[in-house]
Amino acid sequence: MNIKNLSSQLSQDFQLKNISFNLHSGEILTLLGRSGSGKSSLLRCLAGLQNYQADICTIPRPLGMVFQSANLFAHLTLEENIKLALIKTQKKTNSEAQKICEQVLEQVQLSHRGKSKPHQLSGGEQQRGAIARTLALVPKVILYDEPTSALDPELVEEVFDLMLSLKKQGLTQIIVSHETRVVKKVSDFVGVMNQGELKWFGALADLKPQLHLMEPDEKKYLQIFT
Amino acid sequence: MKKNICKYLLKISLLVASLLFTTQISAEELRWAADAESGAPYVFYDAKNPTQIIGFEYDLVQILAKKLNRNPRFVQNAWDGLVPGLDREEYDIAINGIEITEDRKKVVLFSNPYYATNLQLVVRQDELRFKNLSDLAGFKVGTLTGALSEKTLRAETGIEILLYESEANAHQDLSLGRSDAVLFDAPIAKYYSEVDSRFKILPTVIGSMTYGIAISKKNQELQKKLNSALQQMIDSGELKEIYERWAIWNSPTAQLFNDTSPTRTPPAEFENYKNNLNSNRGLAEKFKIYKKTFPILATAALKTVQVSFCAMIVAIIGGLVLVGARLYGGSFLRTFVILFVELIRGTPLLLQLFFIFYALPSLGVEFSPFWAAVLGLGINYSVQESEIYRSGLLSVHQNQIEAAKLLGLNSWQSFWSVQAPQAFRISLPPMTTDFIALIKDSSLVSVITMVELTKSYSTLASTYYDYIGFAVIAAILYMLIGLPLVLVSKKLEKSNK
Repeated sequence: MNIKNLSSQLSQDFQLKNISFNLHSGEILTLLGRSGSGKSSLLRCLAGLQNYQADICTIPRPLGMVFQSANLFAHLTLEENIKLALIKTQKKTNSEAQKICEQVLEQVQLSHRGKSKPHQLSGGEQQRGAIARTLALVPKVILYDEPTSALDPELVEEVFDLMLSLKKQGLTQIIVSHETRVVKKVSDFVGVMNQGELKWFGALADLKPQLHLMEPDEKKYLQIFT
Repeated sequence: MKKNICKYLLKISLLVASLLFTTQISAEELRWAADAESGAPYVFYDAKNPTQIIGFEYDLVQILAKKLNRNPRFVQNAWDGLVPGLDREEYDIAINGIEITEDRKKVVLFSNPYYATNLQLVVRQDELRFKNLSDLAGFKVGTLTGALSEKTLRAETGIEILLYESEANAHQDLSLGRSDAVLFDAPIAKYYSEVDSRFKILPTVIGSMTYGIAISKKNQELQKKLNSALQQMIDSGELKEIYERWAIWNSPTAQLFNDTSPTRTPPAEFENYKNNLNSNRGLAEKFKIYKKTFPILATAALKTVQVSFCAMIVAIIGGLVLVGARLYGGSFLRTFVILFVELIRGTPLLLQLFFIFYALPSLGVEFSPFWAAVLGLGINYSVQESEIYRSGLLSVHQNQIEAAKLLGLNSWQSFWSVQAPQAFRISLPPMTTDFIALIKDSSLVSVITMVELTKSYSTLASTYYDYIGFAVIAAILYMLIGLPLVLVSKKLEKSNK
């Protein structure tokens, strides 16, 4: 994934400015930054939900995205959720879709919950279900917008394990999160966003020595993660 | 080739038109309209046989039709709609104690007067304060809406006027002391006040008026024929005989007909009426009446079901079109829909029904009473439905729509597979409430000649002076009509969870 000088006017007084970074397949980037720094907006740009300009913007496709909540279609069972796009957009037959569905459900360890509606699933199961739905389309990139912030602490681990196993399969993943464990356990890289700009990009280990260069309140925020 | 098709179509439409035309002519009906709820002695249901209409005007029309060599057919319409309804040609004449006034002459033709009478004041039996209208300044006086008596009261100063739809209600309030007097046409006073020991009629006669048969302005020929037939009935004494049987022969009418001969016929109909007036019926007798009249209520309930069901379909389709245009249409379409919604939402349903039924025909758009009712209710409720659908669609979480987009669904697929089903689930409970309200609002269509459940109820209640019993039956019928709707929606809600 190669992004060079991505900008986007989000509202009259807020914009993303000159964002550039590179990721290889199998790498995980965590975007840090306080509320309103533009992390989620950057994800939405990458997902194509938000207009932007960029000098270079190479994003491998297909691409999947997992939201903080309300990912799964509320009126459909987990299986139906997964099969919907397969049948509607990839023109797969029902039995083909069913096969894929069973595979991805097994991958996220939800084979036994396929017939459940989203509201019958726990928060962690819902997030894993949403990831399974994305996986069914064989994505090269998955974007997560605060995927664990609505989850109970013990459920967070479920999602982390899944991210790591996807990493092994070569998926590129970008995570927006305030979760210190994400940064420590799963990320290869950390991106620090502030006022619409990517202020810093690199390995977590490299961040600590440079903290003294940051503004005081920025430093205070980032110290939690290092 | 194209020309041939045109010719063919023209031929067919001519054929259809001529068929319609000839059926109208060959029927030779005299369609006469009245409001059977207007009460005795004009046109009302026989308490002994509640499917049969009786009254001195009913008798008059029977003889009149015979003289014109036509078959009388009764058309029910609310009293307020009788005159405007003439333009729609749902009926040929309206005869229901309609006073000949200059105002009305501007919009319809009148036959020569067939009856002359006065207004009279009715007070409680123990009342001593009043002799004349002028004594009532500062007091409350009741009367019937839209009648000449209302106008007479308005001309007086200082009287607080109470308007009623039925004689029974006016009397009820008088006996309870909510009003101090009521002003009625003399025949009404005779049939409703004289027979009731709680009241007395003041001897002073007030004003004078004549009743005429109202005819559409287009129908001058019929006016002539009616006048000559009426004259025959006056000359032969047939008309006087009717009035004598109903005990309403009076000196103004005698003057009008120039007939000073002594009365000959006993007031058999009035006696009959009095005998049937026993309002203190026992429970067993009441149930006999309910059993006898149930088919009437059931038929009316069926009409309510038909109108409501068709209106619901119109409301759903209209609601979908409106919400589609509002959410996904261009700015012009959107503005139009917003204005339309505000127009319909901001005006009373009753007005809309009147407009569709009585005003649209003058613009060349004419619907039968049934379809006018369906359309009026349907359009009115389509606006509410569209707002329900809109709030349903808007309350679907944005993530769900974005998730669909990210999965590669196009906006059409996203709408039908994701947004619409969820919006439907959200909309279901308010839709059910809305449709139950529609069923109840269908009672308003009685103003456009439709006899539905509420109209039937009030007619029967006024025939038998039993407002509670029939109300209970009507209420149960309404709930039964709404019940399937509730059950279906419960089931849908469950299966959609």
